[in-house]
Amino acid sequence: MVGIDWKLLYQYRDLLGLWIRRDIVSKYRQTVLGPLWFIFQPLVTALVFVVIFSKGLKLSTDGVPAPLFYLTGLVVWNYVSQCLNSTSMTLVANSGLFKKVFFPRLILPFSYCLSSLVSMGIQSGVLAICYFYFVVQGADTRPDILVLLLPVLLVQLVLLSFGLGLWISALSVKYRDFHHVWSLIAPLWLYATPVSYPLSAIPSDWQWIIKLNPLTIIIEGFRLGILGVGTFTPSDWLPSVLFTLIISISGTMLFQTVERTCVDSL
Amino acid sequence: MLIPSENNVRVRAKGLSKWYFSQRKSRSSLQDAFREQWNRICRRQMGELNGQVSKPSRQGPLEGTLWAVKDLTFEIKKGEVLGLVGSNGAGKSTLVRLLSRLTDPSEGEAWVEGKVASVLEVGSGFHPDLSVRENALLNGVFLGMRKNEVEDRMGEILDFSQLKDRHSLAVKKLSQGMQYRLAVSVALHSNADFLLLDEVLEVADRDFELRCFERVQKEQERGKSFLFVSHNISQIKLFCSRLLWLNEGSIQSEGNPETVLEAYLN
Repeated sequence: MVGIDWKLLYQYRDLLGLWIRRDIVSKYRQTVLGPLWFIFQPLVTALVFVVIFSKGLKLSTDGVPAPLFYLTGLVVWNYVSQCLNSTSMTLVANSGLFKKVFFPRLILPFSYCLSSLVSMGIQSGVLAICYFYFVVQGADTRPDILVLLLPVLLVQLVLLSFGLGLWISALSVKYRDFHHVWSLIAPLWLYATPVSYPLSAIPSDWQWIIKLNPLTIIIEGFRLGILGVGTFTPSDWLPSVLFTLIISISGTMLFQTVERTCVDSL
Repeated sequence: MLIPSENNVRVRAKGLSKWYFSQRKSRSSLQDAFREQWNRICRRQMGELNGQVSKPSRQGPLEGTLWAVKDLTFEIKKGEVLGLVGSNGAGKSTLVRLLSRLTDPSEGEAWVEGKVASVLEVGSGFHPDLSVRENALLNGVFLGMRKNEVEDRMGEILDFSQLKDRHSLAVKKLSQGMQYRLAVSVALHSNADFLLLDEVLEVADRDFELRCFERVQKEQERGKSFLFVSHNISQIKLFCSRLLWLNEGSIQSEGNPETVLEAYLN
């Protein structure tokens, strides 16, 4: 399927775990705070959002305590952002390795997507602690039955980031400036995604624009599942799932092609 | 598929060629990339139906192509150490990369019985912050071993590289020579049936060189084959059972090391 050598991938399956470990170690072994960065980053961003969007601009958070609302969106957004940052550099950053060592290349971007799940897990822990705090304080926030769909949404999130990462990675081999394009798009994409505001705050005539963004429905789904507030309908979700499938399959195909020839051109 | 005529053949190359475009080809578009991948999928399925191995070449050589290697036909027997000599740019590294599956041949094909592993650069994929043991594990998996296979041989690997007492030290704390010994010793303990060493033993001291030689001899007896690229004449004399002299991408002469060396050195 899609030109993947499954047998080879299976032979090299141990590489996945080892590369995930290497990736995590390489990020944090030389830092003072280590994995604590996983925790500070969303907390500080959520705090800034509270000050600017909630207190300053008085934007609605659908009746949920503002820090909790922002943290939930940020946990999801941070995953996409971290994943794309490392996946998109796969071919360029590891070109030395690719020229010298044979192994199924797809393992590297995939292991980046999985290692980002580790930091997402830690951030979810922070979210859980905050959740507990606000519920004890008397906030009327509780999960929705949609929480059962979260594993599916999580798989979709991984596939979407994987596919987009492969696209950027493959394109940045041919056009080195593509990585800069991504660093320009990333912050814009954050504001086009309902992380700092709920979808319901957008006038219903304009909501379709935000819904074009495949990440919108995923974040709304996560918030509906976890916090019980959000706009999630199957008819909005289906296009996003289709887009995810198309982007991950086409991304894999493109990456496989570029990976074969980039050794000669990098 | 190329089937060996006798069952003591490890590697067989037939008409193996690789060319590069000296001028930049017209910029290939994404459309081309997709078309190529699609063709690859179709070809593979056709090949499976007909029981043939697909030929990778897409088009014939155009004006202004540079032949890196041209029409190489040779065999390597089981338990043989084939030496490869030639001046810079003779195509030695291209041949090694073709046999390592790092790049596709433009024409011709190569067949190898069993597993292939290659060392084109000492310490590819080493991470300075990971320990000796962890790096050995990662390196072994890169060479196509399973994690537990490397773990089983870890004692031998550490003995061979004389790093037993430093196994939990970060690799960056080792001297260059020690890092080098570690990488070589993982390679010599790989379970590959065909091992390619591209100028890897060049910097070995006399003692380590002799230990490598003993190890190679032991592996030869088990039917393992080697391709040994070197500029070091005394090492070639020590290791190789047969010699291949490449000149401007073609085989100049082939045979007994003394005879070929004499011609090559004059």
